[in-house]
Amino acid sequence: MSLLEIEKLEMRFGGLIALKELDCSVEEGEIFTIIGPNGAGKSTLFNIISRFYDPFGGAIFYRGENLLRRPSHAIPRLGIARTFQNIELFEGATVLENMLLGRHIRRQTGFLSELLFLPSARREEEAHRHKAEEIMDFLKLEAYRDQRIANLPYGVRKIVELGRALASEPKLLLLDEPSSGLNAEETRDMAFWIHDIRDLLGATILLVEHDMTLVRAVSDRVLALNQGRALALGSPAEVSADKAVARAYLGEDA
Amino acid sequence: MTSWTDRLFAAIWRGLILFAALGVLAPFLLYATGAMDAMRLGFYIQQLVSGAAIGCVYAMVALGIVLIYKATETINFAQGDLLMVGAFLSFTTIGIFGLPYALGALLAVAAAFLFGILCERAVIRPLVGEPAFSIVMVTIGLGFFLRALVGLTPGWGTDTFTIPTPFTDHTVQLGPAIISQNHAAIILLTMALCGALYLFFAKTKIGVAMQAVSENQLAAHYMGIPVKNLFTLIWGLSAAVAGVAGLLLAPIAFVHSQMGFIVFKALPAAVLGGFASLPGAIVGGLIVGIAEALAGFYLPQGFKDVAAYALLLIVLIVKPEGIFGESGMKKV
Repeated sequence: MSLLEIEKLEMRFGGLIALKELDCSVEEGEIFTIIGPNGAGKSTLFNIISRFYDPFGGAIFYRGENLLRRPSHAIPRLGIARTFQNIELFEGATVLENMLLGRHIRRQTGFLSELLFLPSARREEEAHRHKAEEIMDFLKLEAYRDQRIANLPYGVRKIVELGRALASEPKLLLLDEPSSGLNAEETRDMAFWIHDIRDLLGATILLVEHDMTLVRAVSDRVLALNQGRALALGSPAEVSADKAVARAYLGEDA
Repeated sequence: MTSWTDRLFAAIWRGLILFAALGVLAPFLLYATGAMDAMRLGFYIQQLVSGAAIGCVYAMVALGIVLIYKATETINFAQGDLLMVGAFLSFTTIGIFGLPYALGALLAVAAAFLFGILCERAVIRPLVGEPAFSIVMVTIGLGFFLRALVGLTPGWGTDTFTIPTPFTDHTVQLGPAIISQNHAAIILLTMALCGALYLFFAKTKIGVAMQAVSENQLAAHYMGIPVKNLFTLIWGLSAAVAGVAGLLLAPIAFVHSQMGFIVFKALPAAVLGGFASLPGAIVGGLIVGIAEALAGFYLPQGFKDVAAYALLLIVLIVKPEGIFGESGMKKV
C-alpha cells in the first residue's frame, strides 16, 4: 500500500479546470516532486491534500484512510506537515516560539497542570524545547533562536518554516516551492536538508518545485502536470527528456 | 525613515507623558512640601482610587473587545451588553437565589462564559467568511436584542437592582484617604484576573493556540489548531471577562438593562491602548477611569463626560497607533 494514493482527483474553479482525473501515488520514504508551468494545478493539489479545498471528485488515501473525511485541522495529527510558497509564519513570535507552535499537536498536558505549571507540565515543556533545539541545530538556526520572524531575512524565514513543519515530527512533508526566493547557495543547502530529512528523520517528501537543478538533485520520481493533467511520470532524467513536457514548458514549436 | 514631523510628534508625546505623570504626582509633592494639607491629599487619593476602580471595569470591557478583535478582526459592539447580561446573571445567583457571594459569582461567570459561546454559535458562526462590516453590524444588533431580552425576562425587566456584596458599606483607611471596600475589591480582583489571563495565554496549550490564531489563522490551521472552535472559546472567554466586569460594577453602579452603554467608555480605552494590545486595554481603561474621576472632582461640571474623548483626541493626534500600538500600516 502506498503512503499517499490519489485517485481520479478533480478540481474546478468556476469554469477553470485545475485538476482533471489525476491519479498518482507516493511511496513511503520517497522524495516525489511535482513540476509544471504556472497554473498546472500543483499548488491546488497541495491545498486539497491539506484540506484547504474540497475537490469536485476523486479520493485521496493516506495510509489507506480517506483523507477527505478529515477537517483541515486534523491533518497535522495524521503526520502531514506543510510549508507555503509565500511563507506563513507567526511573524510577531520568535524562531523558538514558532518551533514550539509546530509542536502544538504533541502537547499532552492538561489545562490545569499547565496553568499551575506543575512538574508534569514542566517536564513536557522541557521535552518540547529540547526537540525544538534539536531541529534548530539540524537546520543551523541557533543563531536566530530568540529573534522575531519580522526581523529576519527571507531566506532564513524559509528555513524557519521548514523547521516548524519538522517540529511536528511529520511522516509526510509537503514542501511548496522550497527554493523560491533563495539564492544558489541557499538552494544547495536546501537540497542537502531535503535528503537529510528523508534519510535521518525518515519522512516521505512531496514537493512542488520550479528549480530543475534542485528537482534533479533530490527527486526519486517526478510528475509533470500541465493544465491539471498528468503529462509524464518517472525519474528526473526521464521526465526532463519527455517531449510533451518540453512542449508544455516551451510551447508547441519546441 | 523618520521625518521631522515624526520626531516632533514623538517629542510632544514624551512631553505629554511627562506632563501627565507630573500632574498625577503633583499633589503628593505638594503635600511633601507642606503646600497641601492631609485632608485635601486624602480627597485626591480617594478620587484616584475610585477612578482606578471604574477604570478597571472599563479595562475589562476593553479587554473583551480586544480579545475578540485580535482573534477574529471583528469589533464586538455588544461587549457592554455582555457585561449587562453578566451583571443580571450575578443578580440572579446572588440577589434572587441568595447564594453566598463567592459561589454566586463563580456560577454567574461560568454562565456568562456559556452565554458567550451561545452568542458566537448562534449569531457569529453563520457569518464566518462574510465581510467584517456585516459582522460588526450584527454585533450592534445583538446588543439591541440583548437589552430587549433582558427587559422582557420575568424577574429582570427594566427596573434597577443592586447586588448585596460582603464589601458594600465597608471602608478601609489608606493613609489620609478613606477607601470604599467596593473600590478596593474591584482593583484587587481585576489584578487577579489579569494575572490569571496572563498565565492562561503564556502557559496553556489553548492560550498559546489563541495567540497563534490571532497572529496567522492559516498557519494556525496547519499547526493542527481547530480555528473555528477557538473563535467560539474566545467569545466565551470575552463574555466571562465581561461577566466579571458586570459583577464588579454592580455594587458601584446599578444593575439595569441599559448599563451596557459603558462600552462607549471602553472603546476609547481600547483605542487609547492601541486596540490590538491586551496590556494596552488595561492601561487605557485605567487612564480613562482616573481622568474621568479627576475631571469630575476638580473641573467644572460636564468635563467628566468628555474627559475620555478629549484624551482620545489628543492621543490620536499625537500618537495615532495608541499607547501600546505597533506603528505602521495594517498588512492587507
